[in-house]
Amino acid sequence: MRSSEPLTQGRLLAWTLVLGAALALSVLLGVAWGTSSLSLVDLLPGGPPLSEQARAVFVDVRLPRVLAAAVLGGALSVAGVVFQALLRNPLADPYVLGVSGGASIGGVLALLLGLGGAASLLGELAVPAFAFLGALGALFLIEWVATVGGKLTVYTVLLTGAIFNAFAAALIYFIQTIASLEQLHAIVFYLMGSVPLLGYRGVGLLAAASVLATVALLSMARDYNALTIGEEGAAQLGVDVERIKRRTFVLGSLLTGLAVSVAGLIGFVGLVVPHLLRLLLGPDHRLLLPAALLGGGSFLVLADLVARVVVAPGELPVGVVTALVGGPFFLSLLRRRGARYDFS
Amino acid sequence: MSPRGRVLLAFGSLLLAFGCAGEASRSDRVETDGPRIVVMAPAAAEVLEILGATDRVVGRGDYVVWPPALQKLPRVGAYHAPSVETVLSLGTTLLLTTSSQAGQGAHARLRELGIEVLALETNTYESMLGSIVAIGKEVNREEEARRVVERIRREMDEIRELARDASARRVVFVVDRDPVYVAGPGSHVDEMIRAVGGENIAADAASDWQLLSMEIILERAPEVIIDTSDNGEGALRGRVAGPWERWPFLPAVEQNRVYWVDPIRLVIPGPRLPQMTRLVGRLVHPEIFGEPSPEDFEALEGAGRALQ
Repeated sequence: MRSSEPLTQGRLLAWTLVLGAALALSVLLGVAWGTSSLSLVDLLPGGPPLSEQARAVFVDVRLPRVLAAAVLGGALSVAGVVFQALLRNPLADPYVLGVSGGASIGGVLALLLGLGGAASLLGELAVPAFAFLGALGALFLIEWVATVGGKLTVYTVLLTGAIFNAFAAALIYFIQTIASLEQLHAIVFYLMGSVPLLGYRGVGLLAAASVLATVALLSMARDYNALTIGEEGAAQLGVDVERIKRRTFVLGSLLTGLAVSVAGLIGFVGLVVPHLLRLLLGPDHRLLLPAALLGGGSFLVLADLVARVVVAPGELPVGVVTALVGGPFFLSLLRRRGARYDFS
Repeated sequence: MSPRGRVLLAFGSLLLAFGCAGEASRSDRVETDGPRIVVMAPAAAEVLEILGATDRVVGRGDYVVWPPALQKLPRVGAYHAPSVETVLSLGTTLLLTTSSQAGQGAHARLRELGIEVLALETNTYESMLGSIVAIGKEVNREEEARRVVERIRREMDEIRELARDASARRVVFVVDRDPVYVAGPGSHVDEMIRAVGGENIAADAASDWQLLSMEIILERAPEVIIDTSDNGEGALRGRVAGPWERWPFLPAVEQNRVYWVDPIRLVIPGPRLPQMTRLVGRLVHPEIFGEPSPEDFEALEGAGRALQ
């Protein structure tokens, strides 16, 4: 089976090109196809000039949304890969460590305080800014609690994260109970999770942060490979386990916090894309990380495309598509390849 | 269903069942017999007010914020989770609530304890009118209730008649902007828009409250935008383009027909439907119903915040 082949420069390059091409194709599809009747044919040179409205649909609505989906899908998948490696747990996803709970609390608080309105000081930035502060708060809290004797213990991190998420969920239910009807509806929409309509500057910032974090994580890819044999084994191979764990925890959490701040909780991407790629490409993190950035992007772009067109003129929350389509697809793949799938 | 899905569903039914508003004077008559009512559905509270039966109310649900006369009464919890203990302790004989599936457990206990639970269907125009008569029967005001229903029908017909020859103007009613959530077919808002000679651009959507893509709004080029998505301190109100300025080619923006309103009293079914419809008429067809005045927007303010 291909996935057991050792990683060569050629194989890395080939897969990166294939997945990069797949992402480019997904983006093209995403821009070509939408709820309105406009299609890519309208963009071909030689056709009638684009109306201002058609231009806005392509340039201001579809393209930034497709790009945001690509970046968010990549960021969540990368976070999923490194959390699964860090925790050596196949159930780990970007939301398992509690930062998502912190981000949700931050965003919901901003809505409760009425900071998200068009006339407020920060305007539309207020909610994501508060959410990101919430994510940072959760990150520091969890790191502080889970550090015992200067060491970050994996099981403590996992347990702290799970308990913090439960606490966050309860706090949000409490806020929903005391909120007025109009606040309640803003909170429900916020928590739903959807690919946001950001400006190009927002998408660019998000992309830059995601690529930087992925590159930083990629520099530790060999260490993740070593970690699959356990922390002691990795240490014997000369890996500075504590430093790797801490940096991974912080970088992965920042990626997740960023994604949740702008998009809410989009489920399933960060869980299933890493597993799909492990099944397809094998366990080497030097390949898995760039593959997750590109493949996760494709996955969310396509899922968002389905969410946009399947009940047109309406839309589905994208999380519905990621789990409804991704779930059975992953299970069938697991069924066919499962005997040889060794999660590690 | 996920907790989020449940909240959303509950919210949807809540939005539909929510009713309030009105300045009619309330009857000061004190009833000695008749039911002792706990009212959970805001629409039902408004009906009781119109029928002059608020003096029979002994408790209210958390979301019942109108009429003011009820605000001093004890609260018994949100409509989906009434406190059985509090309802009992108030000597309640009748609980008026919504037909939402939420709260069925508590309703079953209350029925076992001999308290009548009337779940009102208010999701459509006709069912809302039917609920008015049903409440009338419960409080011995059936005649008044039938007269209220007749008046609503007559006034709605008058409004439709006024707008009969008006050119259909494309309207979108926005509940939330990110993600875009709008009023679809079958909602009360859709009923109001059609009555005043508007055409809901989401009329072909799958459900009465619908997640819609932004590009559909741009493509269908609404001539009137009624946006209720901004709330809280310093929220946008009145005739302002606000964030919609980003799409200057939209007819609604070009023609200065973007309106920001407080949703609470517009979105809701209830006996005030004709009054609310006339306001929507001033937003959609001012040449027929008259220009909207600042007072119109003020009249909509505040009901939702009375709770805080």
